[in-house]
Amino acid sequence: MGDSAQPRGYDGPMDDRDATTSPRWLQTIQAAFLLGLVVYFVVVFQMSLTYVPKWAVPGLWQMFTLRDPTAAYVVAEARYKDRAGWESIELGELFPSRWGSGYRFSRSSFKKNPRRMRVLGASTCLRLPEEPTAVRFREIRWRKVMGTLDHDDETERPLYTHRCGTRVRLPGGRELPRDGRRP
Amino acid sequence: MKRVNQALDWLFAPQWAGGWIAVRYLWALAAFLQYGSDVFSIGDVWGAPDMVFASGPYRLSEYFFMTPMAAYYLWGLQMLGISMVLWGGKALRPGLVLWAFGAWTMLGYEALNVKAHDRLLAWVSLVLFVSPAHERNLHLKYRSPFARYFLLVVMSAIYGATGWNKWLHEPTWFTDGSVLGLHFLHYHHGSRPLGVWLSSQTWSHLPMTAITVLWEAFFPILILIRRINPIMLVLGFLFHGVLLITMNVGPFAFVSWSTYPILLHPDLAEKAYRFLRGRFGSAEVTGEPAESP
Repeated sequence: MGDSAQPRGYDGPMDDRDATTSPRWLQTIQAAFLLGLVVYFVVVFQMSLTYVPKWAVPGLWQMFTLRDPTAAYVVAEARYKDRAGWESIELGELFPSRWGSGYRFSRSSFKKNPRRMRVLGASTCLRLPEEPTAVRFREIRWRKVMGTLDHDDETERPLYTHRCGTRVRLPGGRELPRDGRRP
Repeated sequence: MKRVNQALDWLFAPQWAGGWIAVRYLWALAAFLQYGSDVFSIGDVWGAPDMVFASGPYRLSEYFFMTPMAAYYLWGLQMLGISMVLWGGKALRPGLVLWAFGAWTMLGYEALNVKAHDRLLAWVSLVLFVSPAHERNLHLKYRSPFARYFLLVVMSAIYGATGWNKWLHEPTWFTDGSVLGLHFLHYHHGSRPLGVWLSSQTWSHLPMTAITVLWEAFFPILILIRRINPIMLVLGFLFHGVLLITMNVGPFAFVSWSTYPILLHPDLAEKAYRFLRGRFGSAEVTGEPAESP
């Protein structure tokens, strides 16, 4: 930034104006950079909603694009030794952190990934105050009805069942404890 | 060659730089809203010994194990960086680097989902880094428009791609608008009282969706037309405002709004500044001497 120039749209005297712009050699580089950036975004746009390579992720923008007629949330249950049946767990109390848009474990990118569900299962076993023998997760889904959040046509789908004590590896090769309370 | 030089002269003519002052403050507000509350989740997320993940390009957790103390340090680094940006001057660029290191180490370690507003803020920060925002008294200065062009390209890509994806891949944006009504009912992103009520007002869906898609799709062109430029930004302000009160999309609106002072045509921005200064300020703009940082 060093070359002085008349500001566009200003017709008055320049002596009281502090006006500089990029030096000429830099202008060429900056113009080429901007052009390259435009090309990058156009190429990434061409890829959106199909296969997206890693290098395209920073430039990928699609928000609330498709119609989504159903809604869903995740529920969990635990089974305890010497007790019959499955007992409901309040997952939100065990894993309270939310995105702006809901609990972390509720995201579809989470549910679709068996490895993440395994870690969630093992972590649920460890975070419950009383150690269960197994935990299971189900997705509850229903059709949205305009103007209301009420729904009575729920369908459910099993997501994952975890036997507490099963060996689960975290990234980097660390292992979650198979028994005992929270590590 | 002469024509190239003339074109470069035209393209790089200095523009009023006062808008960067507002962008700097608004960036700090958006970054704080986005990452400030992370400190309350350290025990559950970054400092948790159990819920650790690696995904896609975010594989930091394979190389180190974050303790709660390390997470507090990283969060503190972010807040220090944001404060330095707020302070401005020579502290701005180191502040951006500190914030970026802290924020993206935590995002990379968490590895669950880098959200749209995380990426948008990263782009805006990159623009801020190469902008003249580190200078003082920018309301008296005219600077290279490169950073403004950079921001125009980024915001045009975001709005344009979003709009054209809707246009090309989902017909209901232009038929009955039901796509929006259904998004208002999303279990996590939606479900706000006003959004739920709006979802029942089916007559309003089509006007809202059609205006949204047209505004997004043609933003890259219309923002460049001086007469239409402020109208586009007013519509954008309203668009993000409605989203803010009807849906849960984090601080996306604040990140987007932080760019508007510099997306506004600089001549208009300068006029607006002079008008406001003349109306509410105590000093004349033109006669003020420039102070060094």
